[in-house]
Amino acid sequence: MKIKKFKSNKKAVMFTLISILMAALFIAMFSYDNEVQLDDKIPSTNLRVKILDSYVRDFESYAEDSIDISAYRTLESLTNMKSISGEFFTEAIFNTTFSNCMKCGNTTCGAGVLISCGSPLITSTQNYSINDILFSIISTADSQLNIRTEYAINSIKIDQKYTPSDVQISLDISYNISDKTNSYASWHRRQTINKTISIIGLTDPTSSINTKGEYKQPIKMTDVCENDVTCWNLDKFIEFYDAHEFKDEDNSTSYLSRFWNSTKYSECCGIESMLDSENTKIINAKKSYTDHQYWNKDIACEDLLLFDDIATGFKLDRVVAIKYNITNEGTLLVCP
Amino acid sequence: MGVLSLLSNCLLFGKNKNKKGYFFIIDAFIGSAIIFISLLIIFNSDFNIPKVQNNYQLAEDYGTFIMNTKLEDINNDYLDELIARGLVDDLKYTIMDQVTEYYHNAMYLCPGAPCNTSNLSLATKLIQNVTEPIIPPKYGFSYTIRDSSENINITLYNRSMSGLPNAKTVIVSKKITYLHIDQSTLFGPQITELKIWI
Repeated sequence: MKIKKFKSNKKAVMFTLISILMAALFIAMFSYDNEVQLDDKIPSTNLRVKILDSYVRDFESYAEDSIDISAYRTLESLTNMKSISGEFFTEAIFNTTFSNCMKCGNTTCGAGVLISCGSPLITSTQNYSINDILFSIISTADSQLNIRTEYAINSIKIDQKYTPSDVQISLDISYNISDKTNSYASWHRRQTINKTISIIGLTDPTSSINTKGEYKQPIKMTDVCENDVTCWNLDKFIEFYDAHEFKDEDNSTSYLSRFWNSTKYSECCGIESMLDSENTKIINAKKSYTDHQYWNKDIACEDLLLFDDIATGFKLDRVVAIKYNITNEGTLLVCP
Repeated sequence: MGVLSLLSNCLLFGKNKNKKGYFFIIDAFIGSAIIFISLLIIFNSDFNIPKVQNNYQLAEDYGTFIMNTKLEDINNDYLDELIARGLVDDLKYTIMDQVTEYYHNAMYLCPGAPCNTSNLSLATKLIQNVTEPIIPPKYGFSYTIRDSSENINITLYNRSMSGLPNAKTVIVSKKITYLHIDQSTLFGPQITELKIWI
């Protein structure tokens, strides 16, 4: 009986001991870090790929914003450039020059004599061409994130097709982004980035180039009689004149075409402004003081009206005066 | 039922049978208690340090969150206060954009006091209010801008900085940030460094 008791107690003790040992084994298994197995490296690789993917998005977004900055400064630089000589571009040369200036900051982009595109594209502290702006993010990614970026700008185009106050830029770019230390992930892409750039604040090329920079009128669209042709009267016109702002006008030239001194009217994108007849840089002449007419169109003296009540020596073409509903306020000129 | 019968046997019948049942039940309870206590120790102990990959994920996820989440999509009392005070220009800015703007204002737009300190304070408080609900308290955290223009590093916010030298795990996530100031100016790119440690 005692031996039986001892045997059954022994079994129970063994059972308890085994339970304790198993519990200790479980604790030991989960308490210490396992050796990093090969499969455990996959999350790290996954994370690195995510970082690269995030950078690709940053690069594309940065390239888009770079277009805004570079195009805006390039347009102003080209106006300043031609204001020095007083000579206009031809349309073809304008497109090439714009593309080169925006891409490299000079007129030939390495394919000839380098002529700087000038300020504000190139300043004493920074070059705002696309190449230089993109270099910033590429060098930052290279040094800080260990990411290699190679790119090529295939073409840059500018056009004005939709509204008087915007131009459209199209940038065709190819790029290759990869991890510097490993070759397991790389992005190859070619894309065309289209951006609409506002021209508000830029200098009107026509007046600036014709006066060799002496008379500069910044482009700002008026809200006087906006979208309401019937609201014009003398008071509204004086308000428009005094502000020296622009309005959209079908029978006028667009901002972009003013770089090559075009006389062709733009239905979508024509702009019109009144020259300040009291400004000493505007020569008093028997001309209509609507900007595109003053510089490019001779109006017969008999068709001109004088509006001294608006400004001394201010004249308008009769047709334009009818449009602004101020014909009765003008007086006929004394013509030879 | 077996237990009841055993109990009744224990009370009414022979001592031997009662003792067997008695030991059987005790043994079962002891075994269960050992397993239960071990599981309790395993799941509540600090021995189980989070995997390094999980910390990386936390840092990257937080970085992605502040880079991509727009202010208009956030429900936060401090942000509402900033908006009410007219200190937020564009609700379509992301959190990182807004912090970068405050930094730019402090260092470049109005670098003198009190404008400088007030803008840096806005940046710090914004990060703090957005970070506190997201990063668990057991982690230390810092938000630093590496300004390549001035060649300086500015830590806008840090939590538990004193714990950094003794941290067992330190994870750094770097993001490229820049700000489109106006039609002709771009600020950046800078590196924003998010550091998490435990």
